Amino acid sequence: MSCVLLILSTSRTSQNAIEYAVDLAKKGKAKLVVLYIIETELTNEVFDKFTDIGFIGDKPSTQLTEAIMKEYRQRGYEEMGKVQIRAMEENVDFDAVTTQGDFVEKAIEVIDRYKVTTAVAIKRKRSAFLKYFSKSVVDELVEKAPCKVEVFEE
Amino acid sequence: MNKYKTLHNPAYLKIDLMLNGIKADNETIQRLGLDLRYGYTGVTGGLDILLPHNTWVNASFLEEFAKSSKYELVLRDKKTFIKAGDESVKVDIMPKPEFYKLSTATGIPLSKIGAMHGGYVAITPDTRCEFFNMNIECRYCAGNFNSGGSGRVYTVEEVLETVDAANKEGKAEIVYLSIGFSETPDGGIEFLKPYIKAIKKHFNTLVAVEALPPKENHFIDETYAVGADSVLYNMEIFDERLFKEICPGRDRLIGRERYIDALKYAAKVFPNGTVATHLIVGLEPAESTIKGIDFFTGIRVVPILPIYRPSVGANLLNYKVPSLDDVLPVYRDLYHAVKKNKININWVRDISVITTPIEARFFAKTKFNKTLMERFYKTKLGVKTAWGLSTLRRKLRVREGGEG
Amino acid sequence: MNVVIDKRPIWVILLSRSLRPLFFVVVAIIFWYLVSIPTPDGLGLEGQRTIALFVVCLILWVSGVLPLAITSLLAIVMVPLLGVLDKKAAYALFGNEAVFFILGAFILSGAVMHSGLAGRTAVVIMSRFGETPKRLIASIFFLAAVLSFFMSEHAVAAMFFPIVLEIAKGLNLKPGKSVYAKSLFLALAWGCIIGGVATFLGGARVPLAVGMLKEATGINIGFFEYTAAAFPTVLIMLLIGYFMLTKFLPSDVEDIHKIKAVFERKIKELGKIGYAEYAVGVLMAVTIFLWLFLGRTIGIANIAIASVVVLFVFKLVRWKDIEEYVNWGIILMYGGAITLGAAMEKSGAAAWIANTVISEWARSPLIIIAILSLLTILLTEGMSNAAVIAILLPVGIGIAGKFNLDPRIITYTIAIPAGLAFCFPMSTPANAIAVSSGYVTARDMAKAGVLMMISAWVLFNITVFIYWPLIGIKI
Repeated sequence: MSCVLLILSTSRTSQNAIEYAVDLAKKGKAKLVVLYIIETELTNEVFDKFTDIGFIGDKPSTQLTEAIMKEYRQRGYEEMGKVQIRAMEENVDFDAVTTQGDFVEKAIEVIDRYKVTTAVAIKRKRSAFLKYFSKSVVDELVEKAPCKVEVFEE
Repeated sequence: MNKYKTLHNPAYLKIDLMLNGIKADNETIQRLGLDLRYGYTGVTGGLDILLPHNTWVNASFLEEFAKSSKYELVLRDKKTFIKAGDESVKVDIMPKPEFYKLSTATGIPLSKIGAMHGGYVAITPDTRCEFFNMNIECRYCAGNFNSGGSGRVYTVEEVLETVDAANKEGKAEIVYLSIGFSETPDGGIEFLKPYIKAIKKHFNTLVAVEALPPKENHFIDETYAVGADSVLYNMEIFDERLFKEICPGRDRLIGRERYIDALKYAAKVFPNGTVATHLIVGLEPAESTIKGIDFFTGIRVVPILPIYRPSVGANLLNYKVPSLDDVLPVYRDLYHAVKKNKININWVRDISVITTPIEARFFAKTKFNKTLMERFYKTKLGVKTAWGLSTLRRKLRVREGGEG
Repeated sequence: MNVVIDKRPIWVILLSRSLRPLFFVVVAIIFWYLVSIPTPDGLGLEGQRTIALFVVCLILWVSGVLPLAITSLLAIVMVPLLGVLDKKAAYALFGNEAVFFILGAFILSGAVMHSGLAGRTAVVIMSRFGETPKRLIASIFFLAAVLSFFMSEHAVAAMFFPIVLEIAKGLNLKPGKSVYAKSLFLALAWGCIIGGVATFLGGARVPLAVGMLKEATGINIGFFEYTAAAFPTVLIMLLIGYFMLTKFLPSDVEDIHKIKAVFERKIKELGKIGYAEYAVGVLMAVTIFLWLFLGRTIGIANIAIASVVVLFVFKLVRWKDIEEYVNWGIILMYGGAITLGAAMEKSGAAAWIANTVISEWARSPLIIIAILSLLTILLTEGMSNAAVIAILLPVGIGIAGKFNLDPRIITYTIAIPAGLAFCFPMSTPANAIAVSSGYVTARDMAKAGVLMMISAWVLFNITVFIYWPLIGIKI
């Protein structure tokens, strides 16, 4: 059985991509796996800011970081719930993975684990300036992934 | 019989000795001063012999089949030789280490905890394997996992005492820790962690870990981060059908695919040439083992090729010992495959109970000369350098903490 | 155990790891070069060494390679080692009144947070006034600003974040898409930023600037005096901010009725107002009154520390709570910055820089103020507010000496714009929090922030030109 992987993250979600991935899995009679990656760079940055230049101590900084992380996790569950409902409606076999850490590394790990045939990733719109100076993680994934990666521009 | 001139080719000789054992009469045994109380029987219990070109072999000499071996151990002018027909070759016998005679503070003989194999001291802190409780043990296994310590788990202190004793004798270049199957997602690494940490804390030695492929890759990251310098997930049989048949536990509870995935991932984490898997020679057709060798070297995993010797208790008693002709193509392929894939062969070496890629070059019609690097890693400085480089690499690659 | 294995080629790892040591080597070479070149005319040996140290601290503060506080400690150690000030004098500067005022203010702010008083005030006021989308924005924005008059703006941002997040979720706003959510979080960030420059209490940077001025020139600026100079900028910026939030980010939400339930639940959770909240509230009110009207006679640090003692006399907090609510590391930053500022002034380095480097472009006091405030507002977007003051103020005081300007004017010119960082998440914690919510993107923040930054700079200079002479600040 082939497998379609939909990669969502804190800053990369798209209803179109969800629809596309469900449709792809349905047409190919494939299993649909949703990977939700919780991005931690921003929370780490907030925490670092407070501990380095902030006027408040450790406890409020930690509470704040925890509040942000809790929110991210909750958002992840909501997004995965959405996909699950769509998958159930379309009778598509479904599995979900939540993780946090490096986008490319975690995506490849799941691609390997589930023997994914097609991955669907969402790319954020970036300014030409940024595109010139840095490569997007989704581009990196396209290069490194051992399977086909379809990219949705948000 | 002398088609391959086995006596003068250390690798041929090693394999032949592993397959057929060696004769040794009582007088020789006595003159060699071998104390038969310290485990000279069983799968890994034979005589450790150092053949020419620094090739270690563990040859059975007390078992019945050894009595019909064409090789004989002889002593001339206090020098040891292996004799076959009219020819002989000078060898060295590795006496059983002194520490085998010692016991831990808790009264356990160190020989029960640690076993020397060439430059390795092998330790299995917990000798249980749950495959046995579920009747899905590997069919070639004689239950050595279950019998070793009668279910006793050796403490970190006991293991440290063993490594310390071996280290004082200069015989713990590499500590080889292994564990049987338990139904945990970590493949046994969580259990081994305190042992690895303690060994790394107290000794400047390399640690190799033989565990089961964990369910998730982060356990592999942790295996490396905690201090393992080398890791082995032994698939044993490459052929899909035979894997199911011979290793039902591994097949059902871990799965062949997971073995491959875990090894593939580990090869990205560990240094080149330190991730290995056993493929037992003789339990599957040679072509299948060769396929396995080609596949694993392709993903930068070192295939280690032990030869199966049936032991009492194993389910595969009707097994036919392969001939040198049967196994030769396999070993020849091993050397070419590791060379082709540029796998570092200096790590897996000096093991008496298996054949390493470095030894396989003797089958490959190349010169027997050691490379400069190989010579260097044999020296004391080389051993220290290997340890230093391995530690430095870990320091550079491992980032603690990561994301919460 | 949580580990990450860096799988990049080893040479890439080695290169990236060696960048840091290499950076320090380069900094050391720059230092060595600056102390070993022939001493320029008009500058003494001590001045030359201080400039070398100043450049090193500047590089470290701007790059953020070391924590700010550690760079400050380096400054404290180096000042006596270079023979600029003797040991006793250098370390005595650390016991500066400003440092103790900051310490006291942090502890009081921690007590307000810990007592729950600030959170209650926020929820109650928002539930009372936030009945329409615009009024909810207004209540978050102005409330965050007003609270930042009295306690650390960062504490206000941290305290408000969960409340605003719940509002956004309660209204079912889509992260990154909802315009109303963007204005909610920008209102929070901007409110804290603008309110934070109104008094000595919003951010420790103002007391830092005042302390540096006092150590360098002996001139003091009182709590009331500063607020009087800064207030018009704050007030008008609040109006501009509100206008931007409501006009440039028009609400895409019509009914916020659902939020009522969120507030009611919050108020219920808080329960009845307790003794500690009352007492902390009264104590804060008395303390602020004393700072405003008796600050000059009693001394603002004395008032702050005395209030802290009262907190403990009445067992309103435990030491353990205070330990967790105060960022002790940052206090070291202020001590070091004051020491370095004093060394710059006393060694003649500040005057020399003003004479040789700045005199080229400095034509009139107004130009100096315009350029210095622009430089401050640009620098503060990229680095810590306090570090900007530590870098610019010693030079600014030198400039004041050369052009016969009142050094207080220069202090205001740097201290007020230093707090107004609107553009990037890295500019200030309040911005970082807003972006981390996911409702505001860094791009949204930069777009709106640039407008706010330009407005702030223009407005500040208009205030300087029109308002300051009215309150007796003669340029």
